Amino acid sequence: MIQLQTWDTSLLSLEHGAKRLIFIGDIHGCHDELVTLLAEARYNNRTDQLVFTGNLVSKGPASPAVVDFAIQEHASCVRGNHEDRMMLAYRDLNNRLVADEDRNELTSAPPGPGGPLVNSLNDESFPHGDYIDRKFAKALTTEQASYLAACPVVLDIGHVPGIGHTLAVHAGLVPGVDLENQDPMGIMNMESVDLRTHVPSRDPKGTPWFKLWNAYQSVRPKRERSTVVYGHDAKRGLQLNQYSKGLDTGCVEGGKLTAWMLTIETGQKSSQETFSVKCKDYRGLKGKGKGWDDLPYSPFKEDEHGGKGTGKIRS
Amino acid sequence: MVFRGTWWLPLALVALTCALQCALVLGDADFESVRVLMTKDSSGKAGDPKEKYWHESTFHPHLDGRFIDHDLKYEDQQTNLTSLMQSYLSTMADLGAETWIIHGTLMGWWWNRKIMPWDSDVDVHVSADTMHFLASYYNMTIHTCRTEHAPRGKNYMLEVNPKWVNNSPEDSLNTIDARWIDMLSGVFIDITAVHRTPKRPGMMFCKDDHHYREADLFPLRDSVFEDRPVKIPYNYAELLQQEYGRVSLTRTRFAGHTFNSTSQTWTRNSKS
Repeated sequence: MIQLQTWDTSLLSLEHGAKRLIFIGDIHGCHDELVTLLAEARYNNRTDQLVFTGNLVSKGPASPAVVDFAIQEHASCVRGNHEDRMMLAYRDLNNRLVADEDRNELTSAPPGPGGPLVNSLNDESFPHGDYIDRKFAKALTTEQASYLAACPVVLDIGHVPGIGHTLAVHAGLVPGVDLENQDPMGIMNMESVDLRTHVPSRDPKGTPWFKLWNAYQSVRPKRERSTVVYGHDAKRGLQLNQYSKGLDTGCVEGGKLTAWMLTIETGQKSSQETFSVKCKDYRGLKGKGKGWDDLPYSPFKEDEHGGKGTGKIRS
Repeated sequence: MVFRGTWWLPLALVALTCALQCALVLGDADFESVRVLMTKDSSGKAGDPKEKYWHESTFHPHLDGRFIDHDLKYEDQQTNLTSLMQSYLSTMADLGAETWIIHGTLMGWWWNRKIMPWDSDVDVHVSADTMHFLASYYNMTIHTCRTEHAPRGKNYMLEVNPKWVNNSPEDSLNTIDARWIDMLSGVFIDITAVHRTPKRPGMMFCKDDHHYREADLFPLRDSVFEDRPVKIPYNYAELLQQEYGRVSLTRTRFAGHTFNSTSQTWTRNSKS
């Protein structure tokens, strides 16, 4: 997993005239919508650079086609929570040593005197809780897998005229912590930040991370401010604040697919615009199970398992 | 011709041995059969209930009284636990046995990829498949491992609680399914198997009555712990917050120690 990648400055070069950066949020395998959106935006791969802010894959109808398109167009990307699960599952599938839960015919469980196998993980309904990820991971070509594995958690785009220092992540960032030292799981999943500890969380009830981010940037010296482009938050939809641009408009659930575009005309100036296309609702897709993200955030309740609770401190 | 009258004697001996072995499974391997340096058993066997398999020492709940008769010094505890962890991770990787760290050990990973100095034991999980594999082929095996603190090698024993096959938390005297034990210092790793909760898809539990969402544990992540490759649960930060509270992830003073963010170590507060 690559935590931080800095953009090659040549990607922002204005040698061949005006340059356009096109940021697109959670595509989730909606290939048709992506193609329509880019056609409407009159995408031209000689002057335009695509940046996908994570979750290119999963949920939707054509994840492999989206990855192939990204490879073909040399799109920049960041690692979303879905790429994260998928790539971990991919690594696991390719590093398996003893028991491969998905290939019953090979090694289900070693026979032996150790007693009956009371709890086989072999059925495909929920092996290791990541059946969906594994299914897609198995189908990945080496090229697709290398592309996704190379998507960094944080993409440092550098100085963009008219905007300033620009970063792309999937979910969010905690202000005031070095990019290398931020918890990657937080960057790919956060919705809120605990104001006392500054620990990020999936909890939608806390202070939204971007509120803290914008407040923090506005008190920094102008040259040290950073703008974050992100996705992940379909519930809030398009969120264009001064120092944070949230682009997930819930395409796969029948919402929209949105592009935020920066046209850099000169070394000092750029203009912004957004483009959206309507998406089909893919929630009823066949073969789609309930993924980890579909589970509502809930800090483990006692009645969830019927046991005595997990609050025990043992160390 | 001499043995004609006693042809049944070998048979009887075999039967007796079997009977004795069955009887011994009531508790962990007894002192006489595994002792190394000790001449006296310091395990709490005498005072423990009959159904309890593990008999921790009489003087410390995280030391095995079959191998040591006194408490460890602060520094010794740390180096022994480090070697213990390293030997376990290397051995399980060699065996191809899937295992990951949990509880206080995972908290140590969160802070600085090391066991916290006030911790006196180590906690790991294995999947039920792995537990079955270890119980079938590696119970009571002794592994010699060289580590930085034990360059000439040290012996570690993998002991499986035969009662692991009963995964009901109601068997509360036997919540630890297996142990990886340092045969010289008596420190050990508690190994618990993770099972799928019947009739609750997506949920998992351990015999020690901890419950998890499968998707919070899997897919496992690769990281480093005590300078060895290790697996950690997918949603590590939330698991830690659920167990120890949000503040535990940022609180830099705990149990008489302070976290030094420059050196990335927990140091013991001086008594002044």
